[in-house]
Amino acid sequence: MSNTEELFSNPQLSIQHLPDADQLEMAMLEPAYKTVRYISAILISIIVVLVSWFTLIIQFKDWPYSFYLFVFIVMVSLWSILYSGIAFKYMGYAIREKDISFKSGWLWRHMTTVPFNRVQHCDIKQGLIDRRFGLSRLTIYTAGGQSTDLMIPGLLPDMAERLRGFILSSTEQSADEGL
Amino acid sequence: MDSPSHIHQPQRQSPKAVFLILLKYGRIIISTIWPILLVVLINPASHKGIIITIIVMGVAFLSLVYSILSYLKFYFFIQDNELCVRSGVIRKKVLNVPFDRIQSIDFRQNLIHQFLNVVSVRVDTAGSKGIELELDAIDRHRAEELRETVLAYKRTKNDLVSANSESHDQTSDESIVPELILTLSPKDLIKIGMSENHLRTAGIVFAFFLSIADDINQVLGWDVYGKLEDTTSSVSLLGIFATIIAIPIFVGISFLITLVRTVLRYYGLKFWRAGQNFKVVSGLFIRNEKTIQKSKIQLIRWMTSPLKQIFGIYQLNIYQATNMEHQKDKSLAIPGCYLEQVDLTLDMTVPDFRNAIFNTHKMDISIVIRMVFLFGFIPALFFGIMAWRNEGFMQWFLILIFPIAIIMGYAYQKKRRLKIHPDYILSEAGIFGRSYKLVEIYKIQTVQIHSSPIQRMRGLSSLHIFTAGGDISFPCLKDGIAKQARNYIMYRVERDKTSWM
Repeated sequence: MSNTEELFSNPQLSIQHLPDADQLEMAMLEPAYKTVRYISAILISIIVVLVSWFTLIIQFKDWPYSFYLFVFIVMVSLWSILYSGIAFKYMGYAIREKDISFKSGWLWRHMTTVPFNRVQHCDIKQGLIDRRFGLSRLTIYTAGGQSTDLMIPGLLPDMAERLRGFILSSTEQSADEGL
Repeated sequence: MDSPSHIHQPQRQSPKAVFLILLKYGRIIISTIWPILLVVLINPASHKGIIITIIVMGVAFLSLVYSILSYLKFYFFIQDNELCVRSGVIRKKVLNVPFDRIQSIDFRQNLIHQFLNVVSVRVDTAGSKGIELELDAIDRHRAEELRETVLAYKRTKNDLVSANSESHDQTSDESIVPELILTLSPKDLIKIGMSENHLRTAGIVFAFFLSIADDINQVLGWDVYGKLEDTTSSVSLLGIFATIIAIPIFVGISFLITLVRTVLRYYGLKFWRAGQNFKVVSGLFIRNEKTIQKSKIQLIRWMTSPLKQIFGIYQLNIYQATNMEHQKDKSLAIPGCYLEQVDLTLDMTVPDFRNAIFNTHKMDISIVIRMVFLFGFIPALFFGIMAWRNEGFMQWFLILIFPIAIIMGYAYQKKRRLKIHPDYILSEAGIFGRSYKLVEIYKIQTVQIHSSPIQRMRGLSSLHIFTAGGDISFPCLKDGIAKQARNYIMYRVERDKTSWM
């Protein structure tokens, strides 16, 4: 890795020795969440396939390419089911003293980091399928807008509760220090 | 000015508000039932017409009564540093907005407001559960008084905070004499109008034409599309002639519309700095008055296009914290700034920025591949299908697309820069023009790093930086640099005790 390139000149501190969010041990999500992912991917795929079957095979059956398009959609659906299972392995979260990171994605990887002193509020939700498997999802909201909200699915309810408690107390603490 | 204590007693809006509330409801009703009205107007004598007329009259009468009632039931006042509103004709509503949560207080005057000398006041609050509050019409001096009360509260509070932490003498007792930064003269307006994005207007005009064509089709039974197809498909002399005439007319119309829109929107624009606030007043028929507190600014953008470069003007946008739904109208937009005014504004908001030494990071060359894919391959596929189905002039597009996409890709890669300084991040972009986005690092909310398989193969990733007022995205950065940037931003944000808003 070519770390010889400096992030910016005149650094007051050595950038390379700052705590690196990538060196963290990522905590995995509950294994049951993999099943939840499979189920929801399958449900969505079934709906998509049914709708496209209805429109392409029944409504527009005269269109010469409708069958190929339908096959393509079925393949994409199968792929998305497969992907949802593989991608599970790449999901994880890590908490440091002052921030929380969440990574996801197998081919397209994303990692979001939110400092606790920017958290607006947190909530815990349970989807229909989540509830059957006894799982919760924790969402952390910042003022940065919807695309930056950090959602950690596949947590045990008491773990989600503990995480929320920790985050909120850290947020409060940093707010107190700020004043 | 009458005694300011008045504002602490529950009071109604200006009586003129009845009229404006009525208009507001009227507009809502008419915009939902206009097709029925059209039927009545076209054919008033018919049996159906009479019934509908009666219904319409009834609705009109009811909305008049409702307007008067809602005027009578609407009270606002200030209590314990909260703005309180009691309203509701049928169901009572009480809304208390603490001054701390108020983001901005903007005034708006349409022609009728201007005529009656009242303003409508919009109060916006921060956070993802933002409340919005609108007073339809209150007297101007009362509105000013309201805003002054809130701002005075915020000033004293800010002073308290800064007195605790660091030096505050620089901002301690600001004389609130507004300092005019920019006024737009009619000449400036024409410059701006001429250099706006005409392609966008052309698109709107085109869409408008299509929808009209559809309506004409239905109402009058003219087959506009059919006629168009006739003229375009047969390469007759008439067809070529029509095209040659139509294109300049089309361009002319779009140009005129942009010009008119610019004049309407930015007529008599004045850009002030008043103490810790920036203020912009503009508009011909609808006069908007927007204020942004300096401490709430999250992101500053200034940009120029080739047309704007001819006149040497920039468009400056100042973004403040928003709840995302209303993001667009919460920025201060100041078109037609010269570099001098851009610099002046930057000096006022981020004093050290212009002397700062940045380290520049360029975008990896592989962005060209992505650009060629997006702007070359996908359009080529689209035009390819079109050309294949009805052979015609579409092939010509196909030949041109790839060279254009490659040139665009290289231009983009060449101009795209991410400049990093211990306190600021500046993103430069532009294919034809130039656009700059500036963020102070301690205002950053979240950082995301994305990477696609191709990016990972080349050791690259995309850096996304979010503030409460907008974001900076930088694809194809060296992976190491992106991670260092993320780690550094986190380090700064987590240590910085300065409030981000």
